[in-house]
Amino acid sequence: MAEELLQVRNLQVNVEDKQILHSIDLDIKPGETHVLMGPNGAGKSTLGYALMGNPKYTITGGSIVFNGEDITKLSVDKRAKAGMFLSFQNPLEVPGISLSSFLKTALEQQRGVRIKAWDFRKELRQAMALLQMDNKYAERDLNTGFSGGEKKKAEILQLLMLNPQLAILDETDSGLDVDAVKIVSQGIKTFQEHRNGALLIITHNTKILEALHVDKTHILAQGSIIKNAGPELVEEISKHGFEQFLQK
Amino acid sequence: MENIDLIVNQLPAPTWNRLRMNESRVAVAVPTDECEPKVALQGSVCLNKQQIPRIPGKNCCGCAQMATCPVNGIDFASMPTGMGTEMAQLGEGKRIHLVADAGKSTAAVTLRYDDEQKCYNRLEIEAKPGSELTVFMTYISTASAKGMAAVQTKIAAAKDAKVKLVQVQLLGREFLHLNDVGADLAADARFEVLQLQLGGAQIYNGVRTELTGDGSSFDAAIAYYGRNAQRIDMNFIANHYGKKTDCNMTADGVLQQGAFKIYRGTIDFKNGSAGATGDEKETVLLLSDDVVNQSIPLILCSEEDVQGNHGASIGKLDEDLLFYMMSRGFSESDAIDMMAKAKIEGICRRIEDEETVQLVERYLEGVVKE
Repeated sequence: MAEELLQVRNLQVNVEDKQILHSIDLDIKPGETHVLMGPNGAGKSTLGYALMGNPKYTITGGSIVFNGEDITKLSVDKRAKAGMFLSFQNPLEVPGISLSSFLKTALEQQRGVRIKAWDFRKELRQAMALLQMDNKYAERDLNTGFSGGEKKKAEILQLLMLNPQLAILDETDSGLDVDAVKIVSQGIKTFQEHRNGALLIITHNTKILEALHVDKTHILAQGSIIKNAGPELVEEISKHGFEQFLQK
Repeated sequence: MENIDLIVNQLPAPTWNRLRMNESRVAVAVPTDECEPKVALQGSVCLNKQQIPRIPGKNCCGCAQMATCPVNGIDFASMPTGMGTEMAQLGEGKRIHLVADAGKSTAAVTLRYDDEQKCYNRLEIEAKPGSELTVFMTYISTASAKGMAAVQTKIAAAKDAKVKLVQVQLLGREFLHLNDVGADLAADARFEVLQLQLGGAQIYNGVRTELTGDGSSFDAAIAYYGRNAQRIDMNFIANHYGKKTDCNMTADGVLQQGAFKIYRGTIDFKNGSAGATGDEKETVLLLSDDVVNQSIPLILCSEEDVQGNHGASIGKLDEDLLFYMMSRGFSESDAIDMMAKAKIEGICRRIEDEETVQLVERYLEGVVKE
């Protein structure tokens, strides 16, 4: 059995003085896809931010081990360099820095070597074609003036280019129309199948999961994981909602 | 050593004196040296180096007949500039005169300063009807050099002429830089000025444009990287006289390490400028607590049918943005450097000269290592 890529034990997280997450345990193996679902306000995004190391979220107890290393106190950039990635629910606008320049510099930071412009452009164009993104977006300031759909595509583009070991997708499907969900889902599938990347998909919508292989599903409610199961749980939630689990 | 005290960068309509923002006073050395500009021309632009004496009460050239005036009747001496009339106290200075005929052309003017040089240069640009001229001006010295680099640039753009002026200042850490620009635009003429103020210790920078002709337009974009207790003192003025004239002024910069910056931006809709529009926007990124940032966006209006807007965004690097960038593997200092350089790169993207852009990139690499 493969060793855990991510091992979360008894994680407790506060935002300011309020405890949001209580005793979270979560194990993800390399290449596995986990789905995290739950009602609004359950703490799903908080878990994503805490795993990535957002300083606004204070870890008051427990540990996060990634690739055998305790990263509980590691800075955000070091977690990213270690192979973690967070796709934002609301990607931020970065005025003055083009998408291509941002990605190229990020890749150079990650790999520690200068990347030839030609090689980078080729790789970028392939990824943009997969996501049906107009090449012009590469020269536009990152996310600045992008539509909601283009921002989400730009997140998946970064995922494909940076190629992390674990990607946390925080409601990547929110605000997308049916066609855009299909395209984004295709990008995630490429990451899953061709890059053997592990995924933690935070979602309300089962549409994005239709084309994806899912290994495990978790329900988070009121800051605790109340149910762990296989992919069949997605279907069950889709049909009956969360009510039955909350009552238990 | 003799100094001249100058009052520069006066606000067209003064505010409270106690704010001490109405103008700036600067003690400058009497220019003693000549900085020989290196000029490279391409297209339908030519160089006229002839010195033209300024005689009070006469035309610019002192001649009786305007038709014989070597600068085609353009009174460059009296043309108002952003830094103001006291700049005339610097004397005659080294003068070059460019004349652009119809068609596309470029001129590259490089002013390279030695240590301890105190220079005053004048550049006059005459853009004839239908001409399309881009002028690249680069001020450069070694990183440790000190001295004074005073330059006045005056532009007369005739009907339908388009002038793009790119000024890149990469002077040494102890230089005093006076950069003074004045432009007069005829009907449907366009003047675009792009400035990068990166070096020097004290930078006084004024740009004034008279939108005289109907349909004329003015676009100014400046980026700066204030650090090491630099003083960056700016005065941008757009005077709208013609109908349906348009101006757009943006200033984008970073302040850290005790830097001081004042930006005065005035859009003045004069009587008769019906249908004119003006927009000014400023963004300042404050990277340390010991900086001083002053801003005066000013819109003056003597005409009813006009539209003027101004906006400013001043503050520290947003925490959420920092988290976003760090989540892609950038360290905090790399993310801050990247955001600071982005201000400069925004202007670089509009500079259509690879050599100039590379010069800026090399300079910035040095700044980051400082």
